[in-house]
Amino acid sequence: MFGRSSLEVKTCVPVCVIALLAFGAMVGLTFLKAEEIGYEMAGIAAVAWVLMGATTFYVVRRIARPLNRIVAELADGTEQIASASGQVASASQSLAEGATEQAAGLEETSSSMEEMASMTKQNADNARQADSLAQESNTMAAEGIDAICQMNDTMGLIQKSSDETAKIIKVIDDIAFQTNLLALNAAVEAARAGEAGKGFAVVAEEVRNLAIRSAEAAKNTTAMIEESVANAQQGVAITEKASGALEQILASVGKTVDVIGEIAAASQEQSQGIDQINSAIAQMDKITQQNAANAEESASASEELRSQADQMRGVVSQLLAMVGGLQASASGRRALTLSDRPLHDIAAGSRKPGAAESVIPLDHEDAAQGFNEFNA
Amino acid sequence: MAQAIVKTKTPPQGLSDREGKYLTFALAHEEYGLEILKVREIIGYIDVTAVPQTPHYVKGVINLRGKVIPVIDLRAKFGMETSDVTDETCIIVVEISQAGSRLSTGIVVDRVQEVLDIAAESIEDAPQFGSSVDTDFIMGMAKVGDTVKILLDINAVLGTADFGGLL
Repeated sequence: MFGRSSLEVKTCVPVCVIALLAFGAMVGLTFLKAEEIGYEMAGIAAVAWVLMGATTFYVVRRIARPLNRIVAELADGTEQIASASGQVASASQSLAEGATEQAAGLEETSSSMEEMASMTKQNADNARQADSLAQESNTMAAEGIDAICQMNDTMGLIQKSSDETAKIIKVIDDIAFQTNLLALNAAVEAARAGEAGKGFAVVAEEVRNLAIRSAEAAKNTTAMIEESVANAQQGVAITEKASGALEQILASVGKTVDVIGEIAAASQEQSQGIDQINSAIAQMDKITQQNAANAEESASASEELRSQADQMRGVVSQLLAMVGGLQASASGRRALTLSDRPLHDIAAGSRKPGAAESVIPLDHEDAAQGFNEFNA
Repeated sequence: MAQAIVKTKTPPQGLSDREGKYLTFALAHEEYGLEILKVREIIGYIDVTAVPQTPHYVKGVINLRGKVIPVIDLRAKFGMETSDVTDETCIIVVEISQAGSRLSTGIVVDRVQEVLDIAAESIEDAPQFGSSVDTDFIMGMAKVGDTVKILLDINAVLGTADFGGLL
């Protein structure tokens, strides 16, 4: 009859005892005063007192037990709400911290992406510069080859004019030779003429000397022409070598231009990729900020919830104190047991929030209604 | 022939006879001299028309201002190996007296040099190489500077030539 909880014991028993004593006193009094008011009246009064006592006892018991149960359940629920809201608060707090850390990490990533983007841009600029330099080298190598072609042509001209000069020198040489023969013939005739031809012999000798000098000069000129022709040929050989080297330069410059073109294209793609990553990071950042804000909000909301729960606990404990002693709050202040795990799981996001309904055995509408009824 | 022999056998008179102007020319590596009075003309090398059935040293004939004269390769005549014609190859037209008449003949030489006045002191007799070697055609050896020029008796050189009926 006196139920499970000490609450009931502590609440009902005193009341019953008092009631019993009171009614007993009344009955006693009635019996004492029976002589005055009459035994019938005393008997009726006693019965009435007894009935009243029984009724009172019955009513109090009828009210007290559910009340006790309700208050106990309320206290339990309040405790659980308080602890749950505490967990939610801490979970939200850790979520907020995590979101803040994520935002910081995103900031770092974003800044390193910025660096990468600037480096890629620099790469692209350098590649462009190298490309223009290579184009310049190309043009200059082509100019060099043109100059060498011109030089070749000039050497050809030199060779031709040397050949013609050589021909002329040959003619002079022939003339000198023929003059020599003429001089010899003249000497022969002068010798035949004997005394009369002595002067003529001298003239012939002088003519021969002239012829010899011409031949000498022709020989020297021929030697010089041969030297210049040899030099020109050497020049031709050197220009061929230079031309070959320039062709190689042209080829390698062409290859360099191709490679640089590829580098520039790759840098462009890299730049685009980085831009995409940047925008994705910005989005992530925004979402993280939102997450952080939401976490902050939920943290503050759960703080408020906890404060409200504390308030409720205070009210409930007041109620308990009113109904039956401060031990009521002691029954609710229990360590976090296995049934509290689901809250942590929710905070970690591993269990559906729907499961919480089964853990906190508070039917929201009934509790609210009961509370309102109680308050009213 | 007897004339030639007499010439070489009379030293004192021959020496002074031999002094005078000589036309020097080169043949292979040696230099020779010809009496200037025997030289008619010197011409540069012109194409020689070969004549068949002539000795090997007879190169052929040339047309010299209307006159047809035979041309002899002196190298072949001396038994030396023949060489190619160069820019300096000349034909010396000499006058020889053969069988009492004066004949013009051309001789092909490698190089014509100059007309030299050779004194009697510079001329020496040809050395004897033994009785089997005939050195009749050498009039003497002239010392000119460091070199020795062989003075030819052209009559002796060409006198023994058989022109194969060309003259």
